Amino acid sequence: MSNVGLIIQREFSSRIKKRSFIIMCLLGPLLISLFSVLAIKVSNTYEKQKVLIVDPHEITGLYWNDTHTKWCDFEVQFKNISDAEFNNSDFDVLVYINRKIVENNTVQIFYKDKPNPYSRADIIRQVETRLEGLKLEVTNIDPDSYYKLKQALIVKDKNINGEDVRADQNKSNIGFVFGALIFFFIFNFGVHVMRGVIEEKSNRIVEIMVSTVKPIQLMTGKIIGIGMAALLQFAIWTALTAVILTGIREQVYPDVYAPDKQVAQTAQTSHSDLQGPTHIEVNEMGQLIYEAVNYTGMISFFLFFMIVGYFFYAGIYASIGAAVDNETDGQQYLFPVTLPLILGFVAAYVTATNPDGAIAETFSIIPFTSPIVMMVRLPFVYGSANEWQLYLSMGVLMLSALLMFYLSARVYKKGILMYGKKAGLSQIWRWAVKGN
Amino acid sequence: MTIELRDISKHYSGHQALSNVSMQFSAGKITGLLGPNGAGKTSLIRIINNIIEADKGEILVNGNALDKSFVAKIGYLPEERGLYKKMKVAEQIVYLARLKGLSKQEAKSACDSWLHKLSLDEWRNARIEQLSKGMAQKVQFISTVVHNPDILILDEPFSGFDPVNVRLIKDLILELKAEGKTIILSTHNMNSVEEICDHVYMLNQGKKILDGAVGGIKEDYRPSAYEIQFRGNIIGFTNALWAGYELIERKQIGNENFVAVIKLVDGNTINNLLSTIIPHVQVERVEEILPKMDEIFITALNPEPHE
Repeated sequence: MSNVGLIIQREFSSRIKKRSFIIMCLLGPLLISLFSVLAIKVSNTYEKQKVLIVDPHEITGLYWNDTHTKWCDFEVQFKNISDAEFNNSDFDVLVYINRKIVENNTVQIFYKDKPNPYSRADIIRQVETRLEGLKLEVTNIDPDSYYKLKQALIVKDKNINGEDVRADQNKSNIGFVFGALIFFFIFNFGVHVMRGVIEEKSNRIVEIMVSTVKPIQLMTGKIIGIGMAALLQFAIWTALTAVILTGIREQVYPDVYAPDKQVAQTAQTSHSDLQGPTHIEVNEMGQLIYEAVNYTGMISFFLFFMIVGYFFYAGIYASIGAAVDNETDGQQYLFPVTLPLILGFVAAYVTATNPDGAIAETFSIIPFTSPIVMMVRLPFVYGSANEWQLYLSMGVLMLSALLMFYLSARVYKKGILMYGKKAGLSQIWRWAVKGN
Repeated sequence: MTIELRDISKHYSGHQALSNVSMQFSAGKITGLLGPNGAGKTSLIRIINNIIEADKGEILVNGNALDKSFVAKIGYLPEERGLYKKMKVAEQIVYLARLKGLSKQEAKSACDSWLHKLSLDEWRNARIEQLSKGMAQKVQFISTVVHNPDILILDEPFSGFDPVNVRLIKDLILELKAEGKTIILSTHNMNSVEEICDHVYMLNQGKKILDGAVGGIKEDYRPSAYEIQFRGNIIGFTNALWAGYELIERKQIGNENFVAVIKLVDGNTINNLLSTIIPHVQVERVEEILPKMDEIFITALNPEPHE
């Protein structure tokens, strides 16, 4: 095994044997799961919505007058309504019953506030139930035969005021969570690198090490070894979180598509029984966590930004460790180096509300902040006309990481053999740029 | 393995650490590298270790230019001891041995042998932070020699050891010398220099100020002084030394029995001295006073008193 390989192995194994690493491996998934469950529970606190059934052809009749569900109060009107009238009314949702609904099995939902998943499911179930009743009356078919023949109800919904802001918000929330994870991993393991270098320097083992390997090999081995520990922790977090969330799914977000659930979530779901459930277990946050996120795609980009972002910052943390004489001195430099990361976190927050704004675009390209900010933008730029910005950001980050690694190695080489004092910023700059 | 340094110079910002230093370290010899703090010893050791580069000059190993493989042949014990405190003893020794090019099996085997030799077998799974200072020093010493290096650079190898372990380490160093290792010993412990070094270099302010075999240097720095024990009248003795001699010290050890230290001046010899005093006293013992290495050290740094 090469010397760098040996150093990587030592750094990796010494990190993963630490009690704090093991605790974090267990605590992280528990906290993420707890956070997810809380988010799902909080997401259950939706308000009841007023639903107007517009049935100008009087197909569904007076069925609606006494229809009140847990999430919806229904009313019917047998004449058309304009957008303006709907906007001025106190109804939240409008369901339009077209003339051929029995044949085309389609309704259109208009809304001012997007129906929450519960009320949406209630609406669909009620319309379906009414349609089923109508069909049974008309055809004289026995219910069992009918449900075998029944086709799925197609629902198209549209916000009459424009785009689906809520869906976008959810997308950016997920991006923000991944960005926050990158912040955590870069900062946490970057500080590990800094402390490791200070430890080697203060206990003087570095003198023995650099008499055996080149400083850049020592630094590279340390950064890769600690980075691998970070990746292992992330893998454990991912696996354990997946296991926990899957394990508790039945309690927090039952799978409405499962064959044994007689539940309608969307119009594509067909009933196997006349008696639909009285309460429909659909939760927007649960749907987001369990179904909507493309984890494969997110994790692929997450890994890229985490690894390259870590390399970009780890070199800086290593050179700080080399430039100071003890951990107290290191703390003084920690803040200025962590500041861009914090700035990235703030920019990520702004980006979550405006993913295509100037701040989002700028900070997702600058390598100091791009690993965090681009994760928030990822759901918006990937597959869009701005996808090139994603690849530009990745390219800039990669090149910057290489440059930063080169400059950091120069500082590290000079700093590790300087004892008894800390290097000033001007000296660090001289080491980095001029090499002396 | 012979290492030859030719005109080595090293400059740091605003400070000349080494100026045209030339030295030779031979196989089977222990060479002392002496000098006060800041003399340039650490810079020189770091240059030999390939940790830093000289601005000028060259290093030859067996007459050939230094190459990368040389580093693996060095065992370096720095003055400021350093080990990974959380690592276990055997784990640490094996790790450092493997970095020096030993296979895992070779490293384990050499580690076991050295742990046994220094009576540390039962501590092999202890963390360094759990060891006493002396034991940690032993581990450090093992880490230096475990890969069977041809060259040993030992910076203050005896510090932190009790007298029993100082003896043990000295014996080990002499054993390694007998095996033909090239040993560079940097120390302020002049007794050790006197005891085990064959050759000595002294640096001061980056320049070599002393170069020679221990015996030769002691010869060069002989103070021409003798300790004489005699019986007789001290006044007559003192009067006899009126010219050409300097009475440094005198002490009465019995009735009309004295010991005096006399320095020869004006080209006088011991024979002249004896001829001068024998008519006045009965000489019982004469012994030449030879310089100790610490006196040579001080004299070399402050050349005025040495004429």
